[in-house]
Amino acid sequence: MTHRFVCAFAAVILLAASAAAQQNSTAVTSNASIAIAVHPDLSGNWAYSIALPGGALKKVENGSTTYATLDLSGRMPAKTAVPGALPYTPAPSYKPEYQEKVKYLLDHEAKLDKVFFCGKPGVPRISSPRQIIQLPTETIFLYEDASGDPYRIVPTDGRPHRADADPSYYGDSIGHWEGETFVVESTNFVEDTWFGEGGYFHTSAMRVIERFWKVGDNLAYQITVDDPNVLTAPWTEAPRVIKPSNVPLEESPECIEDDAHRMDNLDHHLQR
Amino acid sequence: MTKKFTLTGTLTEVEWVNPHIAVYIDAKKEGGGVENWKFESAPPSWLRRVGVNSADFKKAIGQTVTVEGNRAKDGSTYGFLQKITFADGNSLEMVSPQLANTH
Repeated sequence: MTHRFVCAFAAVILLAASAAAQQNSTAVTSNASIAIAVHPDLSGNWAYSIALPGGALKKVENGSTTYATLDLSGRMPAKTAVPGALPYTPAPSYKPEYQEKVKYLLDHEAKLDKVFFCGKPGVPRISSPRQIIQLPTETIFLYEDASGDPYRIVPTDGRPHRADADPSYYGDSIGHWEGETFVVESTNFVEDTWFGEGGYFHTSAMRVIERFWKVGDNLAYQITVDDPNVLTAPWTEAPRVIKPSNVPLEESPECIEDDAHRMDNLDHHLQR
Repeated sequence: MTKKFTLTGTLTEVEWVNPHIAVYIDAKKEGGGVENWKFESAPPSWLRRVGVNSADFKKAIGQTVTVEGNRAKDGSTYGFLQKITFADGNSLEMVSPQLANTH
């Protein structure tokens, strides 16, 4: 870990009762007499990890040929064991009465998956953030996505979930540290999204846990999804390992999809 | 879309949009006249990550280009672009990663 992030939880809690005092938290943080918790700093730019088609580009320029390939490692399950990862299974376990529906959605994904029609992927399908900004009382996630460029603000000051928020694609998130792992719990979702490309529908009862931790200079990311209405048990996916990136974030171009009716196959990108 | 084919014409417009970019080409019609074709290609985020930006396409607007790809099964003036060759002989082509890795 080249950077460490000093988070004065104790100081923040003491000061939470007074907004005026909280403005002085920076000064209090430097007081060595208070208890402080030291967490890894996850801040920075991280490789794009949203699903993109595979393939490579062959470029011929002034007689010379070059090939460029995409580094898709951040969107794929890690190929080797990741220290700190939870046990995982390849797919969620749906209740028997919903298995046929999942298969139907998967078999017709090219027509039914809203993400292919500029829809918001939501949490957890948006995957890991392109940029993380870790602050003393909240952590900010920034994303690049074809549906728009969402952000999430994850409070880490111990507050509970919001009671008055409308259901949303990215849900209501709160975060805390478990040792060296940043744990984000999100609830209050709309039912429009799938939590995976395999037709993984869910209800508004879905609860998502995202875990972030450092493995060397890389960021490990692992999700657990629970929806007691449709799943037999919480599902933990294989971890992903995302590399640091020096590519600045860019605004995503407008999303316009009006040619999907031409697709003959029901399997987008012929991925299966 | 399964019919592989090649078309040469004048690049008239480039749409740098999600989920796929599109290029429009005026090509001569059999029996006379010109018709405008639309070819979709990769997502802009894909192209950005292999080092291509919108200017690489837009600089060729008004020039003669040749595209190779697949034509829509319904026979309309629509297709998927896999390769574009510009007037100066330079080209961009989507290939399999296996092919790239052998070079």
